[in-house]
Amino acid sequence: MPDRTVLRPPAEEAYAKELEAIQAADQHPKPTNWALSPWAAVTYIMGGKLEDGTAIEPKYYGSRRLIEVAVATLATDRALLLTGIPGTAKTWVSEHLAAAISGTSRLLVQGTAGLSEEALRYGWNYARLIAEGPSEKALVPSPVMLAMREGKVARVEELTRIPSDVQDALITVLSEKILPIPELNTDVQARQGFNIIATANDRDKGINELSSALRRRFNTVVMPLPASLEEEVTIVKNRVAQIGSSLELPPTSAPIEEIRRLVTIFRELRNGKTEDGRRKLKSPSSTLSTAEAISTISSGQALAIHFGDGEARAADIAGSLIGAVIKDPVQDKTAWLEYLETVVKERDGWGDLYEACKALME
Amino acid sequence: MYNIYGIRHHGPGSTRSLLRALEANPPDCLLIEAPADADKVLEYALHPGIIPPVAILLYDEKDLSKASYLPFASFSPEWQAIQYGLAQGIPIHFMDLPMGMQFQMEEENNGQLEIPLPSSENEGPIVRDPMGYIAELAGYSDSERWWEATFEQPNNDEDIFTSIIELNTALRDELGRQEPLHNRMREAYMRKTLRKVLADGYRKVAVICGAWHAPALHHLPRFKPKDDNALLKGLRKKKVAATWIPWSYNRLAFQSGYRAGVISPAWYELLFSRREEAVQWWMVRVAVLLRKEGFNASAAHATEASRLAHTLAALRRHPIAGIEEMKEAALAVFCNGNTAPLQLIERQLIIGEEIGEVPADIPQIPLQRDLESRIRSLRLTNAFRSSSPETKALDLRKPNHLDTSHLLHQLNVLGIPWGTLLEAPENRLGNFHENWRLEWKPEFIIKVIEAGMWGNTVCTAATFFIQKRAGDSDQLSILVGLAREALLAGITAAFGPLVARIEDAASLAKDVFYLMEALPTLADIARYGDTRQTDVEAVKALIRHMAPRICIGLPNAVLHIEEEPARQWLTLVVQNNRAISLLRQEVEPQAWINALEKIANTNAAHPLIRGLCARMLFDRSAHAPRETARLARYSLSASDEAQDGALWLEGFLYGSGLLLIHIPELWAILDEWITEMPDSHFHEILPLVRRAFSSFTAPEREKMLRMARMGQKGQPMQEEGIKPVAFDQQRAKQVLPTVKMLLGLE
Repeated sequence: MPDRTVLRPPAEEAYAKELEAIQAADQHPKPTNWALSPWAAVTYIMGGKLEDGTAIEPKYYGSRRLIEVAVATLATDRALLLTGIPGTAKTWVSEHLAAAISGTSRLLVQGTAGLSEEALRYGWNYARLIAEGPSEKALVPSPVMLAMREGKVARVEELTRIPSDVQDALITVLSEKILPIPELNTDVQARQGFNIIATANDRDKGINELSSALRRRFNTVVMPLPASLEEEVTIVKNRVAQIGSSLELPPTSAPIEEIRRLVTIFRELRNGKTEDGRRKLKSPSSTLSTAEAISTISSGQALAIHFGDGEARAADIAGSLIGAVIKDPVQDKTAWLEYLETVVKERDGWGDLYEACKALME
Repeated sequence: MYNIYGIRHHGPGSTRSLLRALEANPPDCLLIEAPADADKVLEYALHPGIIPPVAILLYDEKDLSKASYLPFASFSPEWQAIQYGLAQGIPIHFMDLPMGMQFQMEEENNGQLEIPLPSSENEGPIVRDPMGYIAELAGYSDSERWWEATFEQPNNDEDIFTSIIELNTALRDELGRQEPLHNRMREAYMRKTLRKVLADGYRKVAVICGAWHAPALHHLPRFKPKDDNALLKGLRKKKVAATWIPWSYNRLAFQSGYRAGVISPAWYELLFSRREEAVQWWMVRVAVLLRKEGFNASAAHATEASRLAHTLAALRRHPIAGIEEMKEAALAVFCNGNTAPLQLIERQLIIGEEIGEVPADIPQIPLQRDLESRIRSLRLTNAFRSSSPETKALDLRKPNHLDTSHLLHQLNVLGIPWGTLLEAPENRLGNFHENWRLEWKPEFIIKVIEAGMWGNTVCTAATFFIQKRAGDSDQLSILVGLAREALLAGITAAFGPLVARIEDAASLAKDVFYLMEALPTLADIARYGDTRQTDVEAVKALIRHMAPRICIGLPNAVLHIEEEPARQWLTLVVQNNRAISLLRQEVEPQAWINALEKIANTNAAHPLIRGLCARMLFDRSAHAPRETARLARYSLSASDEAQDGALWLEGFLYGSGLLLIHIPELWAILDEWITEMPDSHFHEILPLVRRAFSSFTAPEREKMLRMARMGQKGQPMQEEGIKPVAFDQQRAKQVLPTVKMLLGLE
């Protein structure tokens, strides 16, 4: 039973029931050490109805073909690299893929600029090392090493933030499937089922491009932004409902109109044109991804519950909306004000939002 | 007695099954669904020089707009059947309704009824490709894969064709539709041919036709010969010529608009020739292609991509990987998720860029032979055979290059745009260099054949064609354009008559506008024609007649006109001014100056033109600065409309503002004009003045700004802050001899 006080349980706990049901229904051949067959893994992520009637909630709302390529990649011995701009569900998909395939999404390396090679290979328990000399017991394995031993999927988040020379520690692991430990004159050989899912962001500054030797070990899947307004509204709506329940916000009537309005604003500013394609707009420097739309809505909801009448209205959303759009105080502000005056103001039924934003900008 | 083999047009799976069936059950006669009048060129299919993709071109000799193509790829069942039959030495007949009859019907119906090609392009998907339709119903986007999955499994072999007949019989019964008349006639003709062959005593006839028609032939006894004959009765036939022409995968592809085409000719070829390892072969080709383009693509990539494609196919529960899987695998493995290289892959490895070959000894019309021999002697064969565009830089001083240029221009005259000139056509005559983009398209062949009516060589055809067009028109600008084309194409024979026509048209032309439109081009011809070894004396004579008429007519033409036409005149006056400068020997400059003078001093002329003329007079030193200043002061007088002043200024400053900098008096006049203008007028004319100044170069404008800052009203400006440039007189003098030589002063 998952601990109710955990802010966000990992995928394999949150969706334990679904995984169990799929496993029971799964008749397709499974690669060694996989918890589910590739077919079942795709079903888990894209959602559907099992033969016994269990409904599987969709985890990803984009193209099924993308997920099929991702799962098929993991079934070959190439690693998977998910790239895309921030907020396109890269991490989300990688977590669910790992949960579906290996039953755990917790073999995770969080990539940062300060990451050392130990985090990808192994480290030492220095007290023990000094007291007893090098031994198996003094070794502290990395998530990658654990995954190799157990034949599971390890995840590397933000691969391109890791310094290039540290990244390259993955080359041997991915091509030879072996992790040598020269200090003990031994090595760890990967079991079948081992693989790596990495995510990388191609928009940010200060990233370290992969060396071509490493890139060659990955199949790349580019995660796109949602294709249509409808798709994006659905994503935001579902995620907001899920987050609301984990934050113990009392269920409110889902402000679907608010969501639609917000997603429209995000899409229009992101694409630099209105949804009907008639007018050009300035794009602000902020990414305005779906993920940001989700957090904007849920913070608006929280605001409404704790300080308002419980239903998120324009005034509750406006604050976090402006915060999401204006990242650069000069350029983004001009873009936003122009948008406010030329588009929001003129749109029927958007008067409240216009007033609320206007009041905050003054 | 006879076997009906219902096939998919251009389906490699079909082809393989067909060949197997023919080997297992060797026929003594072959019937193929193709217009019967293409029979006569059938024998050439075995010619060693003929390399698919090729097409049989059927055309009405009298009316070349009626033409039909019958394309074949190496993997087309019909092509392989023909090869098989010819190699075995058994008789082969095309059995479909002759194209001559189809053309005739089209004509009788006033072109209302569009006669579809033998592959019935106009039919719905179910008739055109019933198997593809069923594949789609079965959830396959790629019908070849459905074929593979359904028919190519190891244990079911020759019965494929029986099941195809059953399938299509069921489809036709189920659909229960009355076949369109055209289809019924075709099927009747096919049956008639089949009956005849059987009557001739052949005992093992193999009939190869589109799957949809299979039931109509298989159940031969169900149809009465009498009914068939009645259907075909009274059909008249046009005389049709046939020949083989090279075709391309690009034109075979569905995407290019050939509706009986396939999505992926290059991939199908691979499926046909290397079925077992098609995916691996394809991935290796991707690797080679991307490597050539400078991408990082190794054999290891190809291995991984093949594996991914297979795994994807397995995941989707398909027996073999199809185009979709291969594209997705290539995208993830080779392209790092970047879709740009994928387009290249699509173009070269899915559609393919192959172009077929047809040897020279297959009957061709004389013009085509002439064209090919010229292409050979100019060493353009590679560009002619290649399907991807090539660029070619020509230096017209080299005889070989000049000939190439002539050929390309001649083809353009004939409406065969093999080559496109890359640079802007302006002043093309004065240039020794031409850059061409060459892209031969198979369908140009029909235009070549069409052009055959004008002559038997490219040059004579172009000559006659240009003369015909000249005869059809008496518009000066068109005729001058034709003269220019003739000159570029080196068609000297047409040139003399053309100049005569221009002369006639020019003397009839009432409007000086058209004369002025023609003069700049004629000036170009007169001036630069020599570089192309053309006799331009006639043109010079023509100019001598035209120029005085322009000088007389122009001053009256620009009176009382609106701004819109005034701007057109502006361009013309500028062009003609340049042309007349070029033609010192032919045109008396004084007449032109007089005309300009007259306009500059006529109030009723449009101010834009007046300003321009004042400027040109100054440029030609016909006016002293003092006179120019007088005109400026007069035109910018406060009593006039402010709008007119601004337009005058725009015309006057056309092209450059240096004048203002160098003649302090002018600057002062402008200054005064602006300063004394009431605010309301200023707002009105600001956009116009801004436009006049906008074309100046940045240093010019900067300098004017500085002058405006310093300059007090009415005071001749002082070049403050700009020191006279100090230079070494001795060194400067050294260039003078060279300058003199360049100017021809020595």
